[in-house]
Amino acid sequence: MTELVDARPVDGLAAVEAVLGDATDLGNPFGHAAIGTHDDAGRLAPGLPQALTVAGLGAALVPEAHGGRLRGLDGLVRVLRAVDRRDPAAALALGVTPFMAWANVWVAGDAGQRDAVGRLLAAGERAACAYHELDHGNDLTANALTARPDGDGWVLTGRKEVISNADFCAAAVVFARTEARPGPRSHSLFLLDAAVLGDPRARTLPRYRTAGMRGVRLTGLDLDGCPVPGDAVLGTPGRATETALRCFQLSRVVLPGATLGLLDTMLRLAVTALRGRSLYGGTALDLPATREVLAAAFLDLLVADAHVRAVARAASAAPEHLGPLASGVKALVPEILVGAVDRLGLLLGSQFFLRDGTGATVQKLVRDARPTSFGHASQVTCLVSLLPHLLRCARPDGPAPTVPAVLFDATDVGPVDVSRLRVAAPAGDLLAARAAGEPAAGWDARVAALAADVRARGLADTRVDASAAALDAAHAWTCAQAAGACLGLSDAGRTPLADPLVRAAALTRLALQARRHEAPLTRAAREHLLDLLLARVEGRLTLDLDPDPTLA
Amino acid sequence: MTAVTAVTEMTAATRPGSLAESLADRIAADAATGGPFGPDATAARDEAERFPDDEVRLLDAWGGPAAFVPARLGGAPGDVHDLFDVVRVLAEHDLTLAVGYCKTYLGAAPVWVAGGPEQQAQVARLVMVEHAVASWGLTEPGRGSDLAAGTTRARRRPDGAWVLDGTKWPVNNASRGRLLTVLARTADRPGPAGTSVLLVDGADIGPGGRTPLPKARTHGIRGADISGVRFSEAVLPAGALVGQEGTGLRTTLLALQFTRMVTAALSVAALTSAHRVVGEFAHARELHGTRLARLPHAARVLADAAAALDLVVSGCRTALGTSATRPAELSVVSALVKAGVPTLAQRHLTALAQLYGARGYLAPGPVSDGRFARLERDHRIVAIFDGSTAVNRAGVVAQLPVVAARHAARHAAGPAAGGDLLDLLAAARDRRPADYGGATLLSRDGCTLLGVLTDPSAPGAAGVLAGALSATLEAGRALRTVADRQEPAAVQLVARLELLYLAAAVELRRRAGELADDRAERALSLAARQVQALPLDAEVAA
Repeated sequence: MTELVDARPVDGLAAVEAVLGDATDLGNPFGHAAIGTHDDAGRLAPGLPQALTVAGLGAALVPEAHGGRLRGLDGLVRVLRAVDRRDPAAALALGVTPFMAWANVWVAGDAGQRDAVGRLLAAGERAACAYHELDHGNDLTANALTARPDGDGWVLTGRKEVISNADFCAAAVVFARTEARPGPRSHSLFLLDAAVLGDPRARTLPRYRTAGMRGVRLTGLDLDGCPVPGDAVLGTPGRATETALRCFQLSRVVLPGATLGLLDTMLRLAVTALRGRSLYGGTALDLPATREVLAAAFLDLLVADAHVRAVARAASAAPEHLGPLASGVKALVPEILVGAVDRLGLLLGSQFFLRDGTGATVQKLVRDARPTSFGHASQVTCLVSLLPHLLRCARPDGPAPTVPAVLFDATDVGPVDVSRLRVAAPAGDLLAARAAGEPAAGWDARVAALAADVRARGLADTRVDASAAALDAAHAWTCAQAAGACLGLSDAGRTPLADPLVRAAALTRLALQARRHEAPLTRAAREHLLDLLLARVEGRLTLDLDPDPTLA
Repeated sequence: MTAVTAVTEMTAATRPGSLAESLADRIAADAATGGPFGPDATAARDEAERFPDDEVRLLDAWGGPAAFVPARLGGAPGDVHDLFDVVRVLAEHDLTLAVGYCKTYLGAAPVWVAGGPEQQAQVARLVMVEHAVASWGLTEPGRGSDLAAGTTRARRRPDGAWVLDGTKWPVNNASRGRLLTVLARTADRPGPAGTSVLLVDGADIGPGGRTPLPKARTHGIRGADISGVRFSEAVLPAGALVGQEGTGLRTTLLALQFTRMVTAALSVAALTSAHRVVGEFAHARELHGTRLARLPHAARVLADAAAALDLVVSGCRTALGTSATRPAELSVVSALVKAGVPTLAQRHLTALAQLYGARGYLAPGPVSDGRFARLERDHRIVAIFDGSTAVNRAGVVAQLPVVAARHAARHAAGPAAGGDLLDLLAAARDRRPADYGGATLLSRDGCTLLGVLTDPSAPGAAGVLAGALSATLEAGRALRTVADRQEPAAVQLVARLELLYLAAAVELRRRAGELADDRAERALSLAARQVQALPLDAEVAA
């Protein structure tokens, strides 16, 4: 079984693959073995950040208009995923975290701030995004670090905890309380440059060590009356929560989208390891139960990539609609990813538990996968943020949105205009609407039933204290969004989802996922997907929708 | 709040005056006075990937090894029930310690199953008096769970002594165990009949005959001695043979029926600890102007974890009772428990981890003692070792037709009141000893406990579960060929049956008055939901 290798170039992807080299080469300083050794010691492979900068990773984060090469988020995701296939910690520290910081500057900064930070990142400097306080978790408006006006500037006091890159950055975005009163207009964003970060009143907290993502330096900032100039405010004072809600729309796609690289590598390693393991007179790959886990994980990867792809393209094509779509990705894709990684880990059995050879990489990936689900915004946070949108979409007289075909094709989708991002999206859901018209696997009836359920719950059940049943409805809705993405991509042809067998399997799998059910694939789908998977691994092609050449 | 009650209800219950209670008290006292059981010492030992030598020395001195020896040979009076509780107590402290310490039971189990009286008395003495560590040499490099494929050989010399050659790896405590039960090939013919179990006593072998292999670095249980051993021309006395020649695989499979039931205690302990840690956090955590535990989603996660605990604890209790009263059913029961308990526990550990957020991911430091991250990491091995979930499920699939037929026959005889099954619970309550001689490779009686779920018209979740059971078994009877039985759909049936077994145990305990109605109903409705989440026909369910 062969597929056509996609000829569409993604700027930076080939260069990143080239500097990473052959993952299986024991002598490669950026191969799995070397990366695993350094990860054990809690650091990235020496030289890796510099090499990735040379390959253009920093430039890939910043739009063309601000000195980089970023156009659509789909291209960025593919570049970050290449890094993630090799080392999720490197992708987080060198790609996703600086992008999250950049997103704030991009959305709220003035021309000078954008140019300054854009230049820094394109040159390979790191940035930190300092929102998190341990005592407040995902409750943004409760954050306590305070900024009070002082002459022309501000004085910042408080702590930001478990922050990636905080001790090692040229710029940091800090979310600070500027009004004592509770509510959404009491916080402002500040851009701290190297001069401020070098002030003795801006201390770095000791490193937090974690079970996974060990190469990421998680520290924090302890600001003790630290003076900050007046022009360090990002955007309008008091509007930080709104800025956050807009720039999270970008990061909620990019983070899970990048992390799918981890599943790609895990699946590749599993195929290779199981092929070589003889069991009961054959290889482990002959057992139907083994084939099922591999084929299902491959399908999961394709489905999740379809979801990410359509939403990443919506950032350019329909930015007004991005919020609920991005929340859907952040709620569902990590769940799919972690589930698949765990099942592969179990399948590999004792090989997964040993920390030598392939096992070392596999167990690293299992550990590295976890923060994808609770990091940045937890699943519950994303589901809660979807509830008001669901209610708007559920109105019987609601407008049927026009779904742009460009979400699903392979054209250049163009740059992202962040000024069009909205805190509250217009009624209508570009992806769930596509699923609502689909009878296969009962999607049309399911979406209608979800809408009726949401209407019956009403406005009272759309808040942070939402009932568990309301969250279940929101979760099912994210599956409808993913199903809509799969349908759109399937109709657009070209990817494996265009195959009727794969399309049907994807729709059934998402229908099961919508109820958090599990059931095996049909035998025909399993064998077809496995053939496709083995051919991809054999040909050293990536395992997501577009088979890119890879040395992972 | 249901969740509040649940936290206080769910601390490990140990029987007054039992070995487990005495160990729990001593561990708590040691931890409080800065001994090796203290949280910092435990965290530091894990970080350094060190074996818990200090803890083991104390446990030996406190009489711990009695847990590994049957009551009739002078071991703990509560036999396997005491052992289960001891594993649970140790694992609630630290899974590495439980795995490292309690391996001696696994190493000795083949002797309890098939050894001669003198051999049993000798091993009991060595374990209890000399605190000998016993280890179990089953797996070989590159062979995974395929036990019959081993290449370790034992030849009998004309003088009756055995000469052992081969490599066992990875093996828990291989380099610490004075005693090692080894599955070896003793005849040239292929297949199970060519295998025997031999008891190696390190004191009998010269230094050349037994070479320890280095400790493997593992993902979890980092301090455990997961190592190996290579035998070259190791000479064992004639009496080293355990049971009859040619019964090696049989002895091993029977011993696994007992060890698997005990291993499930690790999952019970992990879920207990996780529920406690996250429950305390959720009740203290202020969020969105309220407490985390008061948010409906968080309350559901905690309540479900508590219900899952009732399911796994109940299933383990009936399994322990089965080992005493219906040991011939253990081939089904212990496989259901060994596959079902870690799977259910892991699912709820994952949900609790989501609730706990970044804290659950932090290594020991100022914010966290690292306990949650450690137990979540360590628990993953429970589904792998002592027979993986896949291996146990395959063992049940093969017996599904018999389980279904026996269930149908009992059903035809009228709905079970459960009276005939109450002896399972009585055996657990009375701490009746395991009947090592009564185990069989296949269960002719199927699984009698399932008989409490025969009435689909029963009110509440019990009725739903009875319907699900009958559908599961009907599908099981339709598995005609070997190929059918290898299909993932067949494996899915067993996954359902595991939950149904645990639910049946809860229902039995409810009828016996061991569990209050509302609490039992919570557990049963969780089980019903989770069985429904494993539909028989994906196309229809979707």
